Amino acid sequence: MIGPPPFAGDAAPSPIDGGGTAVDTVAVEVRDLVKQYGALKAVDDLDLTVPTGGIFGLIGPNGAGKTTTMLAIVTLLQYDRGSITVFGADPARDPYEVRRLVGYMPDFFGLYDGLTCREYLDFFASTYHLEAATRRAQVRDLLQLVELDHKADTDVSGLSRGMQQRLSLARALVHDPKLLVLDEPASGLDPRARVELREILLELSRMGHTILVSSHILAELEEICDRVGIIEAGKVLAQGTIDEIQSGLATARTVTVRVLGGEEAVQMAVDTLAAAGAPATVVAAGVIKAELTGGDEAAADLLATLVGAGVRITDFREERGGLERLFLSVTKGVVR
Amino acid sequence: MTSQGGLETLAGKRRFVLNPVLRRELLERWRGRRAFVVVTIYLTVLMAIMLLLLWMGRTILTNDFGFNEQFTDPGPLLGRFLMENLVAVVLLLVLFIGPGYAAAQVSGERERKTLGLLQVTLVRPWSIVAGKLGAAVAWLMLLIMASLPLGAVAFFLGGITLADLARALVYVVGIALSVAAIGIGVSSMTRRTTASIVVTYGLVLTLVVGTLFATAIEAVVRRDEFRVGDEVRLVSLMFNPFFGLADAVRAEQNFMLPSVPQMFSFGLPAQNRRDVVFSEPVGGGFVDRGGGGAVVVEERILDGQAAEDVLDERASREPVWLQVLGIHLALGAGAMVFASRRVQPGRGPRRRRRGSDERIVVAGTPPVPTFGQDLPPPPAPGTRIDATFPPPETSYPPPPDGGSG
Repeated sequence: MIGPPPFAGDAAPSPIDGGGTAVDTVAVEVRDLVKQYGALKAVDDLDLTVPTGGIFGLIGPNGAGKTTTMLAIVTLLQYDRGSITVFGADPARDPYEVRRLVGYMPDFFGLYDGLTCREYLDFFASTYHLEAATRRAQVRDLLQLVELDHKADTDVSGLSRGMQQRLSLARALVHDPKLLVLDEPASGLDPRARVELREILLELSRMGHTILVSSHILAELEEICDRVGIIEAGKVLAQGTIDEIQSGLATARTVTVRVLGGEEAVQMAVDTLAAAGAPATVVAAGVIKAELTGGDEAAADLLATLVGAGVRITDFREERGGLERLFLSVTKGVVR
Repeated sequence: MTSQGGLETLAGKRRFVLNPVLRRELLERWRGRRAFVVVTIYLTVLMAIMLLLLWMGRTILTNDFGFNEQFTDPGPLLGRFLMENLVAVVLLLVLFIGPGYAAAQVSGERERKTLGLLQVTLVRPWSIVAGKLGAAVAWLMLLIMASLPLGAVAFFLGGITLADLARALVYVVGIALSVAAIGIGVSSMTRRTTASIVVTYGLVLTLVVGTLFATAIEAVVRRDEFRVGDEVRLVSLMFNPFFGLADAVRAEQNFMLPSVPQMFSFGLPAQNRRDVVFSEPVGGGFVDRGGGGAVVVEERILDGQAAEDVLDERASREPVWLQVLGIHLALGAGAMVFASRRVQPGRGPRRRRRGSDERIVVAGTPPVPTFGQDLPPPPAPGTRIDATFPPPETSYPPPPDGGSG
């Protein structure tokens, strides 16, 4: 059965623990990870914290170290320095414990031609020492989950790319892992398949699996990720919820303000904004854009100031570029 | 989980569980008609060889040596000739087929990119390698076992014992095991299956042919040790699979019907050698040449079994075939240990570095093709980025004039 993993559902730290144990709240903790391939530092003092529950997006260009980091987490890589814990287990010292807890889907599909989808999943279930009867039920449920039940007896080599991807996801789930590590799951998928995949990931998240997913296509992650880590040149530059990262940035945010009234009202608003430390320009009749430094607090203060000054406002909205914008802001100085 | 679940797990653990890797291999390879077709072709070839040998042997014995069914039965000689050659052919086929299948095992997983998927499961490296060995050997075992009935034909002719055939069987299976293990060992360290197959066949060829050259060289180097009455055991021969076979089947040396194991039996220690001397019946019918002991052929022809027993009683044999088999199994075991190390994550052939010229893809834009250094300059710090995406297209220099626009 694909139920929520034993501990993932109650993500909140129990009050008895007093927050002492991070095991229940932190799925993956990576500290000072270093991996060098010859002269190339693939991962360079990387820090990453993936909390239990939810979907964590690792975004960055190819070659940034996403795959290397993921390989280290899933015990497939011998790293040079640093420490990793996966629900408290160390992949380097206790790989089999970690493998029990983690389902990994690489950015390619490993094909055993000559096997049907059912046999393919059954084989991987047997590599986790599941009983035949358990396997049968599990495989049936998984095929249903990834909507491949109608292809159960089709040869795996006859599947479309999207179907292969979903089968691959089902394979990562055969042992009902607490953590799913998905490397570029949406690459090469058509828009429809991408949407389907997203739905499945959200469903899995609801079922209590913690999901770590990487992509270099930002829009893919934006809609589903609770948290993101922005990675470039082997380092995580920022991590947290999108809002957290955004408000943590010292760079300017843009606020669009619509003002009711004539020229004077607009001018008054501009002056008020300038006085409050937010340089503003009129972009259209009655529409002002203001540069704002600081987090949500500052935005709220600004609005209060405007209203207090008697400006009649019909719209006060922060422009959000989403992940793309965020990504560019964060990586600004690092890109060659 | 309840205690009942615990009991179930306990019961499940006690049950025999087939190695998952082996199970998958068997499922994948043996389904459909392939196995059936291969076994049919194999047996047809073997049968043709046997009939040819039978016809050849009978013709030679009757035409050249005056055997005829009424006075001197060629049966026992023919039976030996048939069995020794047949076993040699089976061994040759094992050496020929074994590497091709085994050498593709680990590198094939690498090529299909399924090795990493296996490594991330709870299957131990040793178990992966053992499953692979099992699959390769199961295939060879099928061929060996399928050829057994043909060996039984030789029984009708006489001249061989069940023990001869049983030793040969054990020996050939053992060699199959070690050849498969060597193939898997090579396979675990190569990136490509083609390379793995070439190297494995190279190794097998070295064992079969290379050791013969080595034997010749060794004989020259150690020529001073050859003195009358002294035994010189050539080390190089011990690595040759056919040498052990000669001892396992108790190959006879007779000049009428030579067989492959017979030729190798010249390297055996004297007490393991069996000479069949064709002579006129003299006196009591025995011509004892000492050493390994010779049996007059007529004696055997009249009562092949009796001569066999006499010979085995007299000779204190050295189990050369077990020694040779031991050497090969040791090689195979070494290959397996090596392979299971190589199959651990992060080991194996060096990973080729991936090109790092890919970059972030903004939604809606296809991956930007690269022509050298054409990255748009990064926004300067403090630059305000407008919310309009995708970013302006980078303009590329027009393609050189040669191309058809």
